[in-house]
Amino acid sequence: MQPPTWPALGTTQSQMLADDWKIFTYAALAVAVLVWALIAFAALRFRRTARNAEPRSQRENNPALEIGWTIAPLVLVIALFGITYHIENEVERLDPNAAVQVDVNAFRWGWTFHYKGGPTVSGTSAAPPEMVLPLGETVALNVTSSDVIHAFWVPDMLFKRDAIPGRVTSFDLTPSKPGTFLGRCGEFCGLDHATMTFRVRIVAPAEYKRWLALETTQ
Amino acid sequence: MTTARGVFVVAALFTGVLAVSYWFTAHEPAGTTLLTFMTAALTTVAVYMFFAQREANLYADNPNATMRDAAGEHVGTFVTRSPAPFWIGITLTAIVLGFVVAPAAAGLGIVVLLFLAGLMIVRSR
Amino acid sequence: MSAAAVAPRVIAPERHDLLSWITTTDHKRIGILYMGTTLFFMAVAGLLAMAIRTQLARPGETLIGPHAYNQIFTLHGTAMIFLVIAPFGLGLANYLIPLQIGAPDMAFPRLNATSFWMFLFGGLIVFAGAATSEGAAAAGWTSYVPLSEITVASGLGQDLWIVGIALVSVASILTSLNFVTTAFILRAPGMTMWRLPIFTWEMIATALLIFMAFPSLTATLLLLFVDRRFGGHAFDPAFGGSPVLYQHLFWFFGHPEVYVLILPFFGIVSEIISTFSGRPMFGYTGMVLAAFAIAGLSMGVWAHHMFTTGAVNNPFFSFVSFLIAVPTGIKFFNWICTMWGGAIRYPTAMLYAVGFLVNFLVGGVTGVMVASPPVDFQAQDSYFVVAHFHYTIGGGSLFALLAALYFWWPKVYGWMLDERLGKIGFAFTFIGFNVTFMPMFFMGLFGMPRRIYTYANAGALPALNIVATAGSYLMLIGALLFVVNVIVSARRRVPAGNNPWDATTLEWATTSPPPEHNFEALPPIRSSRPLWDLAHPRSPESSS
Repeated sequence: MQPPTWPALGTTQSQMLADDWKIFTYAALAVAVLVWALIAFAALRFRRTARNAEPRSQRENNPALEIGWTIAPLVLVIALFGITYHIENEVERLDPNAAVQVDVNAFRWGWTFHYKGGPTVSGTSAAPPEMVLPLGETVALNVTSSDVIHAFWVPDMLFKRDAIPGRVTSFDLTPSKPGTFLGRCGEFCGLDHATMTFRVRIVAPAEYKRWLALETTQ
Repeated sequence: MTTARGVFVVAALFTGVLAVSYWFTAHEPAGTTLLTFMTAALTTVAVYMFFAQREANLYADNPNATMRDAAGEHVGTFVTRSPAPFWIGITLTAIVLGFVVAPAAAGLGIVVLLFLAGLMIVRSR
Repeated sequence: MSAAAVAPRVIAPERHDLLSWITTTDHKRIGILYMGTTLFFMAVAGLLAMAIRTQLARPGETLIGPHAYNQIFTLHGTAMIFLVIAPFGLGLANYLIPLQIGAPDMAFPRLNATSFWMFLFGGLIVFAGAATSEGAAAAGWTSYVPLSEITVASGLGQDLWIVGIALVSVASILTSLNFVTTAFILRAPGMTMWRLPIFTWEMIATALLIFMAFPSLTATLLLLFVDRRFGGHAFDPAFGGSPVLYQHLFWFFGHPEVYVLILPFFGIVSEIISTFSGRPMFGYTGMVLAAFAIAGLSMGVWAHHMFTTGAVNNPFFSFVSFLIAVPTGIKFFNWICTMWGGAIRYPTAMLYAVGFLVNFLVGGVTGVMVASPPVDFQAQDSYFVVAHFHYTIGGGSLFALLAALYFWWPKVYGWMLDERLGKIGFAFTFIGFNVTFMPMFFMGLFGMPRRIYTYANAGALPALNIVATAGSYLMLIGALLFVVNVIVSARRRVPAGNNPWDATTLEWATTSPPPEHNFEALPPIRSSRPLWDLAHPRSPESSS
């Protein structure tokens, strides 16, 4: 199973989420490096020394500069918002004809996966349950909780959604990479929050069908 | 006081815009209610300050005022020490602990607090 | 010198016994009480943090089990936010605002003292939960429902948490009332609003935020308490309530709260940078407007803490959250331009102020990252967000807090803190802080949730965690060095004089420490830097 390191990006949605991560990380780094450079330059170049004993001037405004550093960041954040808005809409798009539907129920401290028209898989911290999904097909998940708020989180898919009692929250995952990925509870829920894990195993569609038939007969 | 009033006027206008734009974007009642109450509260203060400004003629707001201008006026007395704050703190603590442990005791505490408040008001006359 | 303000006849000399501290209504004493109490709570919360980092140093560590661990991080977060950072800002403002505006005290001295005692007792009540049979509150500082409902958290500790924080909340509102009234009404002649020191302006904005946000907290706590102890069902889906409602109500307070945690510290850093650069605050008007822009916008972003619920309009909150970066950026550029062309001196206070700039920048840009919901889907409730808010509150507010201690200590006590010990302490704190919290961005990205007492021995987490723990021990050394500094400097008592830093605002125009009535005489006030004007007289024709 994929250990906790750079996320494996197991779904098509996670590819888009990773793009958003990259854009924002580069933007953040660029701004940070620029401003750090300005801070370092100002802090070092204008140290009081024998040669630089008095401040050069007591000037306290520069209207052009002040307007500039208001407008430029404003343009930047509006652009970043546009990117965010677009990517979020893509990621959260729901396919009305999803091939697989799984109802997820979180509880203290484990998970139940009920495949619509199929088996129910359940497990707790001691024996975490495994959700098997077919590669390349859209899976609709409907998440809720039967006690406190939990969250369905698969770090390798860069995605989590809260499991809230009294509410069903729906989202789609389209697995794009075979493998077994760790799932965790992503909302503090008490004593065994740390160990409330599950697994998501992505397999070829044929093998998924075989697994489904096997589970249903049991 | 114009600037001080301006702080509340602008804040009330801003939160009003926020409340309206939030309702028409999100249609979410809890947040809209909170923002609306906030706008109402700030508007209340802003309106008050329109009335307060009429009488306020602070030396502070005159950029050329000197200390001599304000000298000699007796405008009030500052309290320098008082046992009341400590006792009010103790009483409020007893009240809230009472709510947790024994609500009846909390009720008694409220009576004590009201008595203390009355005592303070009478003694400050 | 200028014409003197009338100094009231001193009828009785100032007393220093315990009773005088319990009955004081002097804003300076109340400020010292506040700041001293917050340093005490900081020591406790800091030790709790050391316990957390020690437990997380190795995977599968059994030093602290989940029951104790959940109380520890709950108390750590609650204390740092409600009992350390916010009240330190309020306490420093208590001390400084009347001095900076040329007033003898706050507008409501008795109310001021009452607020302090409510804060102190409220904080003690929160910690008293640890002595109950089921332990202290253990639902996190956010106390989400249903986790904090009576069916799940049945102990008294949670109730004590609720009422303790309610006391602190009301105390904060009353203090803010005092600040705004004082700043509006009690300014000295010539101290127009646009000549106020930046610190006082930031405190006015902070007070405004407290007015707008804390009532929501008080109401939410009341609702939760009624749910728990009086049969309410406000948040119970079986009765038509909703846990999401709690989050709306809580975060409507919770987000402005984090700006309450930073605005006073923006003010501190502004005073220190302009003093040691020998230049006025660049872009004064922009700084003031930016403070209020931040305060106003912060009221409209609360549900960015709820991006993963699927229950809120993510784009609205994302957009407004991005907008806050603009006034914050304005402040950064103003600070840099204040330093630009100066002759910068580097006592410990200035080192911490520059450290603030370096650290808070990380917090700020990662804040823009998590304001993007697609990023937040991974980052929410993970160590990424833990790193983000520690960079803003720790690397930002805490560093500015330390800067404030080094800067204003001479004014409060009349003697200097040792500079060499201060600089060594800064090195340990700065390096330790970054070693602790930088790895956490990666921990979160790699899938480590927050609020967990242990983790599996797999992947990069063990290595990242041991590094973070090592950093925390460096920070501990830095903290101990501050304590040593105080002890050593108290023995030496190097006299400070009125204005050891050559600063320009009114608190430096009086003795160190100031007399009970603050000023024997005030210089004329013709700009935001009265002491500068005094030392650099202009020709009679020029205006300020």
